[in-house]
Amino acid sequence: MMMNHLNDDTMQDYLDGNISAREREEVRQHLEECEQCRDLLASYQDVFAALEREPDFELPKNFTRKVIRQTHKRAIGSLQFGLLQIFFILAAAIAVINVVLTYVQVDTFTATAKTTADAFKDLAQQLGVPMQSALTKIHFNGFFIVILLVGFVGLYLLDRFLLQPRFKPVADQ
Amino acid sequence: MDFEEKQLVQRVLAGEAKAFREFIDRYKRLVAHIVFRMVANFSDREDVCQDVFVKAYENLQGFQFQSKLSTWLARIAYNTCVNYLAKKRPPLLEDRQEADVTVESLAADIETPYDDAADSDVSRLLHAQVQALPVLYRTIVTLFHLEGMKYAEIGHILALPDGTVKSYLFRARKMLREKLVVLQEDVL
Ligand SMILES: [Zn+2]
Repeated sequence: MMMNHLNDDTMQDYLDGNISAREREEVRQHLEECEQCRDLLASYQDVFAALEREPDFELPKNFTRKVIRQTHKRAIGSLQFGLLQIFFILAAAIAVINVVLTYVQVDTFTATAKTTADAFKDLAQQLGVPMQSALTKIHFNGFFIVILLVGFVGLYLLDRFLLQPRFKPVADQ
Repeated sequence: MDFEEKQLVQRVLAGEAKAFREFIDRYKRLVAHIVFRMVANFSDREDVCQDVFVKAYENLQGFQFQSKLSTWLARIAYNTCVNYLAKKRPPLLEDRQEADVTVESLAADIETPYDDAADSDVSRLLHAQVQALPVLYRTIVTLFHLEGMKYAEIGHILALPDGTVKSYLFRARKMLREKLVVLQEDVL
């Protein structure tokens, strides 16, 4: 039985293996009888061969290293930015409290404010149990400077021992 | 779902630097295939490839294992290239001109008459013609023929229906076949 010439789609489906066994047999039979379609098949086979040829898309040898360095830089960058933000918020809070306690006479506040301030003092004293006697003598300024220093050291330790090792640069290949 | 793939992702997420290196080495061929096919500008290709991996690293937390890792990464690569091309409209034109020039110049370069020995030359020239196809076409033929992906997988990466992927693929191959005929006539 002679069928029509094979069209482009049938040819491609045939090469992709996207047709049923029966259709496949029909195509094969037609190809045996028809030179024109054999030529078409041959040219498609050339196209497929060209498409399957591995292109010379070569990334440099140090590509992997560069990517890792970049992610490392970005991670450290965002972390440092985060830490910087925390630090500034902390510093601002400390400064505000400090100014309030230095220039505003807590004693002249209303009863509610005084209770709040007392509660705050109690908390501060509880936090610094070993320094309790010193605290009662030293002005609050001193206390907050200590807090500031502790904050600094804390941030440094956090960065040095927790965050930095996590992003240790990878050894070169 | 691939167990090995899941382990690799978990190790990268745990911050294991060696795992991320493995990840890059494993998928850089796939990423290069997509980026080099889509980005014509030689000097930008490597940067775009780097961007793809940086984005993948930063978004890996959100990978839900609902597709293969390669599909997910290919999608990032494709979208990164689309963004890059959108920012670089004029070079797209350049890209086409460049491609049109090569059709004639490459064919003209052949001195040997076409015979069986020159067959591989035609295949090589045709290979160069892939870059002259429209961006979407050359991306599809690359994913299909070099990555061995199915229509559905390619459709997922390019956000296209399977049927569209198939019809673009067929059209691309038809265009290449027509170019092949021209090349063969020129060298005869
Ligand atoms: Zn025929």
